[in-house]
Amino acid sequence: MDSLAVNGTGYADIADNGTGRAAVSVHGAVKHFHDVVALDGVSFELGRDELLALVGPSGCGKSTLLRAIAGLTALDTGTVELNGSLVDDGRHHVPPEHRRIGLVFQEHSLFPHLTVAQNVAFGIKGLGRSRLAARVAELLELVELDDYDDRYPHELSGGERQRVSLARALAPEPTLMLLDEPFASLDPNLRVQLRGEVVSALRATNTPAIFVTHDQTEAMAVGDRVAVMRSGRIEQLASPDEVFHRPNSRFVAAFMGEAAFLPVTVDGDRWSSRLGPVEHDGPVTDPVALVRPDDVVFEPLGDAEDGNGSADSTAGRAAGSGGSGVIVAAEFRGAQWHYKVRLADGPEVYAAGSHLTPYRVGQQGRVVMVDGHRLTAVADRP
Amino acid sequence: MIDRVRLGIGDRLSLIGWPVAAWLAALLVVAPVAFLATSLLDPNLEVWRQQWDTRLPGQLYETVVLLVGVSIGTLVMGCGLAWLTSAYRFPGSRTFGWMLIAPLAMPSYVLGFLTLSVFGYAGPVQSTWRSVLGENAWFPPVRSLTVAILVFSTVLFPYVYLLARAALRDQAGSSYEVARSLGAGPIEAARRVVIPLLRPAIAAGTAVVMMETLTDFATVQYFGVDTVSVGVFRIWRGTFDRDAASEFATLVLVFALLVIGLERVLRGRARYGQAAGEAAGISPRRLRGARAWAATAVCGSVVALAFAAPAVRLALWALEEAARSDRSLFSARYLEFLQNSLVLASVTAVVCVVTAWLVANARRFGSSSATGVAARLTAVGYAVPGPVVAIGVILAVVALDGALEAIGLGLPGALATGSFLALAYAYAVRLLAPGLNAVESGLDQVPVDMTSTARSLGRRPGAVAAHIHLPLARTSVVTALVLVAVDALKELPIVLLLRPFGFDTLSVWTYNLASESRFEQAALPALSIVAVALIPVTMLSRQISRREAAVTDQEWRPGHG
Repeated sequence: MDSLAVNGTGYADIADNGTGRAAVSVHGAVKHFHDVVALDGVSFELGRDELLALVGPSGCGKSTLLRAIAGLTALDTGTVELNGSLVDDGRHHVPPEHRRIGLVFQEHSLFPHLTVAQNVAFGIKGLGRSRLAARVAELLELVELDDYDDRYPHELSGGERQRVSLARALAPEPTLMLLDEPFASLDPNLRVQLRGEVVSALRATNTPAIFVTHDQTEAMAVGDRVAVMRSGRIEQLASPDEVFHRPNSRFVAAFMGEAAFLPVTVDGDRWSSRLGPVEHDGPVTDPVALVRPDDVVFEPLGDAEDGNGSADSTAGRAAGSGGSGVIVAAEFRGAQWHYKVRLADGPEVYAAGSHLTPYRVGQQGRVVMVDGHRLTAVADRP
Repeated sequence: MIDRVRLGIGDRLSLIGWPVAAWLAALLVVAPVAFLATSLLDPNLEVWRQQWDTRLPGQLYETVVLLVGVSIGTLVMGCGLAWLTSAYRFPGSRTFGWMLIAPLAMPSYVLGFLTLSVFGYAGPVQSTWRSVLGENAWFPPVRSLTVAILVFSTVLFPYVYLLARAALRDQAGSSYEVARSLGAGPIEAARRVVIPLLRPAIAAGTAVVMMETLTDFATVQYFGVDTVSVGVFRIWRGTFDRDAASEFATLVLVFALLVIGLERVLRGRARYGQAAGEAAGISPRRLRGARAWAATAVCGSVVALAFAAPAVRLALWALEEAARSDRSLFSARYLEFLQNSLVLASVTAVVCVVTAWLVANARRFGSSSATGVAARLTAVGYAVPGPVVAIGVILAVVALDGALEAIGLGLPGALATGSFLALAYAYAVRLLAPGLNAVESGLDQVPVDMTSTARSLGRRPGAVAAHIHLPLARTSVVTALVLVAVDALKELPIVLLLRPFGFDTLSVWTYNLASESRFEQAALPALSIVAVALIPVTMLSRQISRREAAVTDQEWRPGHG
């Protein structure tokens, strides 16, 4: 494998090999564990200052992909390049200690016998004592834990621990950061706050990162792009907006958020569903129309007196004809009501509704498109 | 500042070094058994015919009866006591819960000679018996297979007891209660739910007991019992005929394989499923009145007979002997043998724990499953009876000797037949497994993510092992050292077979004195061994009582943070 020998002495040399190249590029990565296929031909590239969110159901291979990039798992076939240097070609694997990758896992991966400062300093090499101390202080400042250097991990809260983990991972100036469900064990409010801080720390240091999560909201909030994985493959890799609103399969649509699907009638270039026209770019095999809860609104039958007059002012004009139905379930979500509506001959869609005008289960009415919203055709691969 | 990194020699070594170390360890452990097994391929029919015509049929019979008898004895005692202390509360039941493992500290060769001294012809029991019932009154024979079975059962039942208790706590508890709530009576629930759930634990415990029985050839000789292990000892110490001894040792190996096979069959497809979290176990029922005191009496007499009384007897003899000899309590010979024991135990402990450390870390760093296989192979020594290990080591060392001589590096002296090196090697092979268990359980406390993080921060495996794994697994490493050292100090069969001329340990001295019926003199070394053996037993019983306290806490403090 002469392609590995980039510097004659060893088979890899991870350093800044010029600018403009991808921080990571993975090609045809395959990994089996006995007879289970964890990675089934994954290829993608990550830009030099990009944050990629990696989502997928559990067991889809997202952690394996992360471990392969980090050097903790060796690929069966395929290649991993970091900044243009080949680090894994299925035969030779550069060990993790030579990949200059920062890792942040769930809680509890801080070294419990070392103080916060010692944890952060663990990966820093070749600095004198005073410069080391200055560097550690600088990193702790970055994660807003200035006076924590003498504490031990068990004296910190979950959120503080994760910030120390981040500082520790950033300390050796990694060329890439990998975060494997870093906030999974934190409570929801802290989680939102912390991920904002993490993202700004990554941006501040210009560190590209791959962020594994099983939370779609988190993925879309964090990622410049979102990769949706399933059964060892990347189903779609695109901007959060595109992945959510123009998913390339029914699976991605359903995985990224609440979704209902309606049959599509194809008439030449004009595609439509019972709720209205359906957008599509190019051909779609077995198309179905994706309906998100915010795309539609429920209008009760007949009585305009029960208080929903103004709430509907934006609705109705884009409505098709076939939206009549009945509410079969209603769920209160604080800011909104969430209705499940069974349409005339069977299919069900979800519709968000104002908390000011709640409807009951059994309410007859019709579902109409919200002004400006369009239905999207997706391939009917479950 | 970004420093450029490249894979130099050191990096490459650190990549292949760990799996190589693990496989080297596995090879060293497997080599003796492999050498021995090869003699099966080319059997010397003359040896077998001669043995078959003389002792072999009797040895086979007595081995089988001894193994079966001890299994039944330990099963009855172990399971019965485990059930009694888990399912009922009676005066002292908590204390007995951990005290019942004390007999583990009593080597069978010590309890064996104490039994002889008390119940033997010249002992106090028979003397009294004769003075009451006349000079020719019948007394059951003490030097017999039956008494040997009783002695082994008394010493070895804690193995079954411990596993049965753990299974009762972790698995059977809720199942038993569910069965009861579904309308099964206590007996039916026990028969249909508890016993099937206990079966894997019972199978494992019994296998350990059989292995311990099979490895012995010293205690059985007190009782005139002739097993296949005794056969190996006789041939080797009688003739030093390497080929004949190794032929015969393969027979012991076959018995060991049978025991392992039996365990597999008994365990069936059942697995040790650790219940998620800390299971509550069977909620015990309070016994009252006579039944409560009967339960106390049963547990009390087991502890008394298996541990307390023997320990007191030894202590009194040791004091009497010291008073009689009118010298210091510790004679010069005692100190010499103690030193031998300590040196051997320390060397074994260090070798085993260093090897275990390498293997456990190799497993952590190695991405291939091959390292896992190596780790499992290094633990097989514990399932190989002492005589097999000893003879196998002789063969391995002879082969090594020959190989070294062939390349002009002859070692001085008789390396194989009685060198300290061969002895320590055999000890290490036999005792690597408990060391590895302890070290691995310590390393398991370090999350894999932590290892990964440390490596991604630019540290080589060696540095991660030194700076992260070692500080965090320190306690387990110390535990491993203690466990191996104590086992080495107690060990008798291997040292009897392999000791260099004039090299006596405390265990050998005890055995020799007891064989000559000099029980009083044997008391001090025996007591020393028991005292040392109490260290790991105390650690274990502390664990048990702490866990029980934790469970009790949960009972009255539900829903902790």
